[in-house]
Amino acid sequence: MQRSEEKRWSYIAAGAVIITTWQILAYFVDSPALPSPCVVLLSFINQLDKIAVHMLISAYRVVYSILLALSLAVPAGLFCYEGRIDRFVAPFLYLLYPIPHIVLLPLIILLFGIGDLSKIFLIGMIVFFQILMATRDAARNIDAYYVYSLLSLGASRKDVYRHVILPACLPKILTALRISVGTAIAVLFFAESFATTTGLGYLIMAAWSKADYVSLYAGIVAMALLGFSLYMALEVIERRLCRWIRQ
Amino acid sequence: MAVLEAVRLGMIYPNGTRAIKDVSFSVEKGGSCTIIGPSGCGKTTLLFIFSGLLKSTEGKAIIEGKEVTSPPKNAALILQNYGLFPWKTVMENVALGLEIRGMKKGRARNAARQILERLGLEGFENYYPKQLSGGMQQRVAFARALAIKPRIMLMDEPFSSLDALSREKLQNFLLELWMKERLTMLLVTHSVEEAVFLSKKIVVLSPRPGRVIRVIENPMAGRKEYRSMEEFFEKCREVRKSVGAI
Repeated sequence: MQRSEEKRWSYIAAGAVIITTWQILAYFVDSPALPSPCVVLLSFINQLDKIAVHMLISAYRVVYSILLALSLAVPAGLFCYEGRIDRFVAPFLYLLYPIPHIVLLPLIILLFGIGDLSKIFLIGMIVFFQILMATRDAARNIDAYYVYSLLSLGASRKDVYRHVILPACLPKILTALRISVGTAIAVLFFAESFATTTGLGYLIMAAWSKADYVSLYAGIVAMALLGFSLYMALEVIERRLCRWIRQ
Repeated sequence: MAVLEAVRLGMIYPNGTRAIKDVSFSVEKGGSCTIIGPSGCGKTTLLFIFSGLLKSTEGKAIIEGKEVTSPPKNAALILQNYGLFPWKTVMENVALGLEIRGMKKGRARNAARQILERLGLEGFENYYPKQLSGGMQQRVAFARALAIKPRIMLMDEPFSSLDALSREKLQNFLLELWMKERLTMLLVTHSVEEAVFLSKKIVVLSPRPGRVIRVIENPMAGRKEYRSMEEFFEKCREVRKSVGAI
């Protein structure tokens, strides 16, 4: 109880420091390109209805793509525990991961159209490689003695995945997810900056083109809030799934 | 009747390393046997062959009359460090073997609870291994091994990561266990005192590739007082000589 109380205060303090720095910067820069936080906050509240709709659409796109990537990357990564599967997967991973996937956007649009699907596919693809890389590394580094210990109890291959490989990799998967949330939001902004009239990326770009800097920052604040709530959700999930690490 | 039997066991790893050569010995029902030798002499390989985790390239490992080809149901394996799963609570760890063997969760937990009580671990069911001392973790490992009601215990340096005091305590604990449960034990160690205190038969292996260079009978083992008796030290000297005389 006391610890969660402390935690809340540290978040409030960090928020206060950021807003104060912003305010000081805005004062010294003294340009419409950096409005003061009070003005932005006011505009945020005034446009809340509109922002909330775009935020929900963005959240849907990000969450959907992360879930899609997760459901494919985690099994693929876990199976890399077995050398013969890893020998097959690793070359693909190393050849395809370093490509800047964003440049495939024209192709993706050609294949999936300009709707949500191509956005989800683009974000999902980038996040997929990040999660696969982390999961594979974790699976490759599992101490063989854990597996021996389980096999000696008469375990099947399925038991090994369920009782050793998956739980042993979970902390690293969750770390990868946390990194992926950041990436996903960055890619989301890119994907929403054209050929759409919905989402926070669109909102920001539209404000920018009208030189409406206050709305632009309101959009940025909404994006920050979206990321923050995803991180909080991940914290809750981690506390549930990886209780053994925190105790 | 011999419960454990090694018949001219040999092992060459796929990379060409020969770990053991022509190893034969046997352990009687209710007996205890320690394999001792310098590090890298193939002690662990030998134990892994008996646990069904490794397949020998020569000879046979026989448990209760049957050649070992997969992990035997009547034997439990205890490893030095990593036996317990850090992501499972004490209760989950101990019940795991039973659940894997198809027992319903509730029944497995009841059985596990009884064993935890017997080993003086009640009240720690919901702890994670990390929260326990080394000695207690190893006791949980024993509880998990005993939960499956084995007739044979295979142990790979079970006390090597413990400090001297907890080590002695756990050796006493194992000795009691062995007497009470009438188990057949096969233990691997590099500690001469541990071998002499715990086992009636001591198999001395040579450096790699491990071969049996001597089998020392140790009929006095099996009492806690043995540790402070003159005969104990005498036996330790004898074992040390054959280990050192290589």
